[in-house]
Order: sequence, then C-alpha cells, then structure tokens
Amino acid sequence: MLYQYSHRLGAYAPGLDPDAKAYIAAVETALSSSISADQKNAINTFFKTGKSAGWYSSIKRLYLPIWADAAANAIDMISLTSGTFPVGGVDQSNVGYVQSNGTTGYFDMGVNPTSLGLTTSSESLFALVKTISSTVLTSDYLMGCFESTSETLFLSGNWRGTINTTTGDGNISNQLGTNNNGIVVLDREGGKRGIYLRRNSGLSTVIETTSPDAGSVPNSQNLYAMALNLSGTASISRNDELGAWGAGLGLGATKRDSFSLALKDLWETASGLTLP
Amino acid sequence: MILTGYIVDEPARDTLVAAIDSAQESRGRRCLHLGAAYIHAGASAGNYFIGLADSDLTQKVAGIMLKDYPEFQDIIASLGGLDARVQLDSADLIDPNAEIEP
Repeated sequence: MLYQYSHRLGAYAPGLDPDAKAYIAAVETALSSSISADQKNAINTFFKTGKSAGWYSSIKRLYLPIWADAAANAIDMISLTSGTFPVGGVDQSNVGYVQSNGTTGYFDMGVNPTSLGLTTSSESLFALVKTISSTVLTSDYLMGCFESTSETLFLSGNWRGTINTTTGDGNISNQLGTNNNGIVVLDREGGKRGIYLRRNSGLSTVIETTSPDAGSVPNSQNLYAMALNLSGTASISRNDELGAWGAGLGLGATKRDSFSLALKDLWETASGLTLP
Repeated sequence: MILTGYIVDEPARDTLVAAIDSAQESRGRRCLHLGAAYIHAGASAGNYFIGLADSDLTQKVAGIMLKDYPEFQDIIASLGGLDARVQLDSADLIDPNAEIEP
C-alpha cells in the first residue's frame, strides 16, 4: 500500500503552475508520450521560480531542445508557438541537446526582436552551450539577426555581442579561450550592456560596459539560433551542442543571476546532463 | 563539407516543401524541412538543395522517425528513391555577396 501510494505521488504532480502545465502538455502531445515526473517537476519549478523572482515576464522566447524529437524541440516554452528547422541539418537524436552540421542546420524563431517587445534599453539573448563549436571566430554566429549596421542584435565568437549598432557603442567583444561553454547571456539593461557566462562554478562577467542606446532593434528579420539571420539569409558556420536558447527583455544583474541558475537546474534535471 | 540530398529546381522545391508542410501541419506542428538551401555556385547553381543524410532518416518528428511517415515514402519515391540522392559541396551554398559584419 505504501509503495502504491508513493508510486501514485511520483507520477502525479499536484499544484502545477498553469504555464508549466501547458508547456508539458504541448511537449507530450508532440512526443505522443509522457515525460517523466522529474521532468515535469523541473519544468514546474522553473516557471514558479521565474514568477516569484520577477524575471518570467522578461523572457519572451525560450526553447528547450532536449527531447530528441524535432516537433517537441521546436516548441517555445513561453508562447507555445513553434519555431522551425527550415532546412534540416540539425542532429536532434540526442537527449539534452541539438547540434547543427555547421552548414545548413539552423532554427528560425519565427519572430523579430521588436515584435517581442525588445527595446534599445532592454534586450537580451541567451543560450545554453553544452559543447562549444569547433570554430569560434568573431564571424561565427551563435544567434541573432542583422538588418543594417545600425539595426542588429547577435551573439558570436566565444564570446562577442553586437547590440543594435556596429559602431564602438554597440560591439562588445572578448574573445576568450576555447572552454567557454555554459549559459551565455547577452544583456542590455539599466544602462549597462555585457556578456555573462554561467558555468557549474558560477556566474561570471565576460565583459561589461556602459553606453548610450545607439542604433535600433531589428524589426523585420526573424531571430535565428545556430546562425545569424543576415538580412534574410542564414549565415551558418558553427556546430555547438545547444540545450536551450531564447530572447527577452533586459534582465540586469539580479534577474540574470536567478534566471541563469534556474535554467541550469531545469536543463540538468530534465536532461540528466551536467552543465560544464 | 560534403552534403547528401536532392537537387531540385524552384517549382519542384515548392511542391516538395508544400508536401512536407502538409504532412506535419496535419499532425499539429510544422517544424522541419520546410525550406531548401539555394545553391549559389558550382554545376547546380540556381537550383535548390534539400538535405537528406542517412542520419536524417531516423530523426524523430512528433514521435515518429522521418522514414516511417507514410508521406515520406511517397515524397522520396517522387524524387527517385534514396539511391537518387547526390552529394554537394557545402561551399556551393555560400552566398558570395553576403556582407558579413566583422
């Protein structure tokens, strides 16, 4: 009787956050099967933490491609809409991450940054990089979009960020060594812009500076992951193993710390892997 | 990098993409292989490339392997079967006029 009772509790997750419940349902529908109780609880904890810590409303798109299934991997946790892997070329056979072939594989979020509400004073891009690409030049783009030299938003290299303008005000560059995988966050908030990296050892600042709000947020080109949307053409040259990616409003130090930790916990529990 | 797949012209590309889209949309989610890469250089310049490596055949979409979709067999048959796949140098897919930001 005790076994049956505990088994029932293990399979049932009472008190699910409604948005967590909706995402879980979408994933299970896509998979045509159930996910584990541990995965459900991890998703639930992520949503609840986000709402209590105040960063949930800042996250506009977040993809968790850990399901070894293209349909489930393409579902946005926030809006429940689906992005697309337009030309294949993405290995989706692994639990915990996906990987572009570095030539044709990329992901289209189906939305431009302005439509998500990003502004020149509040914007962020983020990704969970399990294994960093074998190529890490500044022109190897992880994610983002480009419309003109004063209307662009992307992460590249390892790491480099360009926010709205390619003049000195917009570029943030700090080309580190090769072991810079983890959760990378490009963040502009509170008059600061920077690149931040969470690894198992903690969250660190790769580079940070202050600047005026130069340039404009792209408003006609969709955000891509595993590539840059270069005025409508995918620029693909990286083969990182990615466990998550997304975009949102600016986070700032406190929310960035909480969000990146929550994402780490979600990914590790749901995938069974460990953040580097 | 050498890629494996099919080279088609624009009308054929549109037909194929529509068929792939329909197969996925009818099941509730469209997410994969909904486009083709334009071939910029080489003998097939001006045409489109639809990649289909052996590893793609066992990729899952909504719980079913790509090769197990009923529509997949019809689509592949219309292209001449898996043996009709060709190889393409990935360099042919790079747009020489793309202005990459430094």
